[in-house]
Amino acid sequence: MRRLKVLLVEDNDFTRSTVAASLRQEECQVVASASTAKEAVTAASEHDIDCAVIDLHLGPGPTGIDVAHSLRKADPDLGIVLLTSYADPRLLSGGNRPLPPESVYAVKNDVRSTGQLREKIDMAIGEADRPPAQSVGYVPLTDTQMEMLRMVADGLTNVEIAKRRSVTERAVETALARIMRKLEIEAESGENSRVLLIQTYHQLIGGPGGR
Amino acid sequence: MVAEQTSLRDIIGGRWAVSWQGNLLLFPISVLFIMFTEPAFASVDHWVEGILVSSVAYLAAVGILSLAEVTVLRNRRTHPVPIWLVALAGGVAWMARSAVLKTYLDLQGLPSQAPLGQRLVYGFVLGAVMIPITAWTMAAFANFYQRRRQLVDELVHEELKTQHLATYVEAMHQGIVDRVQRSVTRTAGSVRWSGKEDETSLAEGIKALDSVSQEAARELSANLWQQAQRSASLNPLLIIRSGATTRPFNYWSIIPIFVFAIPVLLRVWPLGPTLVIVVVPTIYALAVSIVANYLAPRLSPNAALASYGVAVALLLASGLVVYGLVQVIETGSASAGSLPWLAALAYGFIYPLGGPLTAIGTAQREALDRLRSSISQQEITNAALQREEQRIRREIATALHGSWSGNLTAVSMRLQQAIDDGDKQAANEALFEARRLIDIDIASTARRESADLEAILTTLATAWDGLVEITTNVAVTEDLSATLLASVEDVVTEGINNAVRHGDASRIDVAVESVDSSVTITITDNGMPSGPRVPGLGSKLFDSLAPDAWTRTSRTEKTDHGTVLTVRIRAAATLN
Repeated sequence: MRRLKVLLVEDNDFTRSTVAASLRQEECQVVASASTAKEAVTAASEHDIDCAVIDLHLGPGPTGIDVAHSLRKADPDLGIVLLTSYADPRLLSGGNRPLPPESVYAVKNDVRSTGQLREKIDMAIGEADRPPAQSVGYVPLTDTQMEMLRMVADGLTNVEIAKRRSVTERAVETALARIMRKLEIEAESGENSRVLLIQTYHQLIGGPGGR
Repeated sequence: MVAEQTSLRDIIGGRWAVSWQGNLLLFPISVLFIMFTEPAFASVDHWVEGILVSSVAYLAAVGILSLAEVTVLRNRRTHPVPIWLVALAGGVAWMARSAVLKTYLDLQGLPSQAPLGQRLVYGFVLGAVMIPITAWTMAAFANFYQRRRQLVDELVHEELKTQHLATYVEAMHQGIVDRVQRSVTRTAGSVRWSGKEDETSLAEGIKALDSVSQEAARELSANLWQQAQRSASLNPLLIIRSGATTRPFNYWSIIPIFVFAIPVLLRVWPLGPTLVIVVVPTIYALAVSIVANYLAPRLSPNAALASYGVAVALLLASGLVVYGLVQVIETGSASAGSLPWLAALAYGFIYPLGGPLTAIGTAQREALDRLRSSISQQEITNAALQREEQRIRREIATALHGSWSGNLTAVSMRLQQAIDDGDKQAANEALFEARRLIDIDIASTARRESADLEAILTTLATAWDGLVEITTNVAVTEDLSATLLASVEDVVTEGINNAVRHGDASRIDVAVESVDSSVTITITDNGMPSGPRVPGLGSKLFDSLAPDAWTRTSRTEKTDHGTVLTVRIRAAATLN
């Protein structure tokens, strides 16, 4: 197995050290680790790296996708792995750019071993076959529906969502019903559909809750 | 736990004043003493008879001591008796021993060294000295073993705690976060939503951690206790080696030999020859031991051990010295034949025991010190592990629930654990911290409301540092409401996002100015013109904030393409 030089971008200290330790087990040399966009760009310019493993959510400001684009612009051959707990980048925020070409989106809950993480990196640098369809955006919702789901999770009422979206309250109700059907959520007697939606959202972003 | 014995009365007059172990220890000494001093048993033909008689005589002493044990010494464990009482019991017991021996010798018509009265006095003195000394020795050993057991228990407890904590920490490091998350998700899925998600996840999280830790703890080898005990054991060979290489002989231990030899010999010999036969070999033994003591610390360990061996051989040779003296003095006494053997036993065997016996005390102290030191080390390790455990618990909670609520959850975990452990102080500390966190949240909310617009914009610009260059310019003269500040922040955030993500801008200028109760935000970037940009959610946001008041114009006059976004928000406008 080739020893790869990796840049790790992660704002959470604990996760950063854990992922770094995992990568070291898989013949990867973590040449630099960064917790902010600036640190990532600086580290990439100072080191010769094969692949960047980037967290999607880096706190306020740019996302991991923004950082990935910036790094790829500076080095077109750089392998990119977005390692995140979000099942879909649109769950984090709207208006994201698409992932840089040939980059790999890895959901933490699906990565069960350090070996799988290494496989993702090998895919990103072109040394392993990619699955037929890259799983970005596999939550079967449109951008608009995803935005409405985020608003529900933020605690907005239907009236507030309608105002934000410049639509009628009835349109919001219809849209939410459609979202529930797509996510296969069925409220049983005594269950609140809005609560189930929020639970599902939290499950999709890798947090507790969900069904 | 038994209280530590402190006074000599507690030691000698307590539990060990009389004991079967002590009786067993004195038995061979008593038999050997009779065999070497009684002329009736000097010849080989009478050895078996001598051993049997001296054993029976000793049993008589044991009988008297047992009688004392159930009468005057009955409550000694709880109320230690005076030392004189122990000495009295020992004296009477050994008087009985002398009486039995004398009776047998008289009945069999065997030669006797002394009349009954004299024997009873010697027997009393011997018993009055030997029994308290034996009690002291047994108590010292018992105290050592008791302390060692306590310390070993303590050490094992600490070691188990270390293993438990280390397993806990290790398990968390090894992906327990993931396991807890799965457990939480599973549980949350199996119960009806009650709005108490945190409590459920918290309980499950703790349960999962405990389960992993306990599984590993159960796998711990039970020989931890044995290992600790072995590390603090008293190895006789090591004790002798230790004594031989530091100070092999204890001069004080020659005094009892000297003191007891004189009255024994006086029973059959005049004073002059007695003194010569006792003093000369004593001086010889002291000379040998002084040289050995001088050499021991100056030689290598092996050479010191060899020197000790030579010294013991020379001390055994004191029997030859006595033999020579007996030949010169020519007393004609019947017991003179056994004297060289008695001297060899006293100076070559009993006297050299003094050094190792002294070393036993040192070895005991060192063994206990080693245990105490191990416990201290273990306690330090445990304290570090506990800190690490708490830190990781917080990290896990943070990973599960987000930063502020994560900390609050971590505190809840600690509170739960403190309640489970019945640790009132820890529970109070956790409650105090929870209150503090809530206060911080309230305070930060309040701070945000009064936050400075310039600080908000600087924070936004700094977050993008490295990817895009952002400059800010604020010209606001009046205080903005918290709602208006939040609106401005949303607009600028969205504007920057648009410029970078859809316009691929590398430089953005943000200007905010207030005019007539409204705020105008101008975001200028060097990215692609606004035309190709997707009118997405940002436009909707601007509409909701500043309907009919925001404009978006394409800037084409510069050499590089760019966009100017202008948004004017009325003071009354709100996010909602």
